[in-house]
Amino acid sequence: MSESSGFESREAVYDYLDSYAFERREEIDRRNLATGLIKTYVLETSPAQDPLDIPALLNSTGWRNFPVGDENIFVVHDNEGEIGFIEAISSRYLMFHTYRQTDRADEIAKRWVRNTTELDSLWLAGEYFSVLWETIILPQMPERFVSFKFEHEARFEDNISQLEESDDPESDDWNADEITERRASTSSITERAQRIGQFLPSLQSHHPAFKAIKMLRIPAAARGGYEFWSWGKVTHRSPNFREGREQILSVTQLYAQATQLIEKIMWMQVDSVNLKDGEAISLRGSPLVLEFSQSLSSETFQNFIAVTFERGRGPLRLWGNPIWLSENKVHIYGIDLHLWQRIYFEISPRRMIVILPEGTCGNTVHRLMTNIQRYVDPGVKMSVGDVDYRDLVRDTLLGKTNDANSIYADPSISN
Amino acid sequence: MIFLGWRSTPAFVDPIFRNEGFRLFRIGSSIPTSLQSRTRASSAIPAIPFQASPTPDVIFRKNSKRQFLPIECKTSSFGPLTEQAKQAASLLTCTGTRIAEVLGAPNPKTWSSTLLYAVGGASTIQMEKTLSNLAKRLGSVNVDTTTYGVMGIRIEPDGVYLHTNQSSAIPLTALKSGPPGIRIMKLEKGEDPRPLYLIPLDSSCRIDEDYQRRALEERVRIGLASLIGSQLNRKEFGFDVDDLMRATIEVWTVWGEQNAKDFVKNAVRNYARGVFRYLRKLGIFIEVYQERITFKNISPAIATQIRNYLSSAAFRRGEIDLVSQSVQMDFSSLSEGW
Repeated sequence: MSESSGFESREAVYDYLDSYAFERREEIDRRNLATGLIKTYVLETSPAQDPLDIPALLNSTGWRNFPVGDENIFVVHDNEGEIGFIEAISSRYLMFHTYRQTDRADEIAKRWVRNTTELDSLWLAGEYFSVLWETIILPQMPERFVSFKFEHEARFEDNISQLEESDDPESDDWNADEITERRASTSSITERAQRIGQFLPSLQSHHPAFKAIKMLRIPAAARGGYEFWSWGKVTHRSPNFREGREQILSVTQLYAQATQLIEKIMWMQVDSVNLKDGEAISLRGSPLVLEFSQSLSSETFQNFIAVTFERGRGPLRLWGNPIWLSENKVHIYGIDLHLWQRIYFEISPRRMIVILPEGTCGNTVHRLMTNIQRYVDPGVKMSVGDVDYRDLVRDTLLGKTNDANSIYADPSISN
Repeated sequence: MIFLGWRSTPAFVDPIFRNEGFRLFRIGSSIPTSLQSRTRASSAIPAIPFQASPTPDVIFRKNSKRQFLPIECKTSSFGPLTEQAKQAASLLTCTGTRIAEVLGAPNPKTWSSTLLYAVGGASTIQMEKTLSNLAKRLGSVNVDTTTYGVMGIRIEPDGVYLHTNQSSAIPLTALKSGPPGIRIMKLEKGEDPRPLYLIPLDSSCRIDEDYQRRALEERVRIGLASLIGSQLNRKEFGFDVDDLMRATIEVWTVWGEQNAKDFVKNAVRNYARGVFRYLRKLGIFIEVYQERITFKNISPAIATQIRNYLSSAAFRRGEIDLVSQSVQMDFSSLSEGW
């Protein structure tokens, strides 16, 4: 007998997950969490596929997948049994819902992304979270309890010259927990939104590490909430799966619109025109400019270049052969190892300039901001062309990017 | 120059051209001169050096004022009797109407143009004298000339500055001051002023400096790595040599003289050939037929090995020779081909 998904429709899957979430909430209340909470991992494909071919994306995993009806949602199994559900929510994004224990679930999701060049996580930078916080949570839910986790780790301040360059990807000392002696800030806050709104700006101005938001819990309508993590994971701490899914969908749609706008502004594109005597060309695009709040020390700068690009190690997953113009300026015509797409950098202790060739996923911008805030400079300021990143996200949320009179409506927006 | 017309924050470059409404319109577009201009220039005594179809480096356009700004960049000035004066004299005849007619802008007679020469800050006066000399001579044989100006580029310890003379005809208010002018890029002490090369080769495909060579080498390396690495999830995939060239130089399809392009293409083929030789040892099957390269027999294990190699120190250090005559061979007769 052939195996089937066991579910007849997408609705049946949601009903099942709603029940599961409700039962977990009761267990939490009884302080008895026998099984895992639902986690949703939002992933992005590049290039977009219409329809999104989920079975093809699972090639690297070895998982068995069973379609649920014909609605592009699948139940997936590994050797240990049912892992969860994967559903396409657009031609570019999918959600992976699982109730495996957290450590195992995280490992599964990360390995899937790492081994699939068409997949990347959703990357929610501190600045992105700040827009959600200031524009949605604080004004609309002032009395609700909200949780923040902040994390900044000055990884590149280590003396990494001792680490030997290795071509063995398994010998990645970078990820080893043994390296702990470095400047780091890890904090959590759970408090009513209104109260946080009163002291958070002051905290951030005195200690910029509080700008590196790693997790933000958005309150649910009734009780509990949904914890959004910087790498696209959402933990459902509420008895209502459908509400959580809807929140995730909203955040993802905002992310998608912002990403498309970033690509529209930034992509370096050749415009060619046929003339009588041949072709004429022009070049459109805009740089991404990351301005560090303080110049990086020489050691941090050198470490950052060596680890990230020369060794292709570290959290940013970039690679390239640095061309040193001087001791404090480097050009890198490189690759983003998440999606193996081209990306060009100019980096100095003071700033980073990034050029995206046409076709390179704008997700890279969100990822850069997330990881630079977390591992290099939490106070970094980023501009997409001449638009501040935070303003771009906020304007997208408020629908201002569709305004005919806005700066985004320039018909030659990239020119 | 390109960055001056793109959206940017002054933390990188102050886009003064864009701020004043100019947008990058064309790169490397030739502007054929009229037969009358050529004839009259050659009838002068002595003949005025002239090109039939000069090609300014870039042309900016301001639609609201129907203005063109063709720009030619030179490292230093030159005299009115030099080889470079041919192009300068020809460009001086490219009025707004002429450019609009050639490039297809609407209502050509409503367009104006100012030719801009960008030179090192110490060369502006001499450059103006040369342009003035050529313009006068062209006028003396009844050739209409366009307005013109010279922009000086100065590298100071704290930044890159642009300036023109206050009486200059250049329609950019921000530039209308004498030296040191307006700072368009801030520099730290000892910082090299060169920005990323968006176009790593000029249209002649000539490699003039070491940085240019290095930039092109790295673009070849990552162009190949990207084309291969991004498709390893498939059991089989392929791309054309021209896809690789476009991944290396985005303007490849419409760029440059064919002979020069063939030279670069052969060098890139030679480099790719060396990489393919190593990849075959990892178990992948690579087939080349005419300009098409196909990769087959890709398992997840092989894909992982290839990705590891393409992000390794060995691949990063691999030599790429884009200039030696010795690599400019035709490989079609070799039994192993690629």
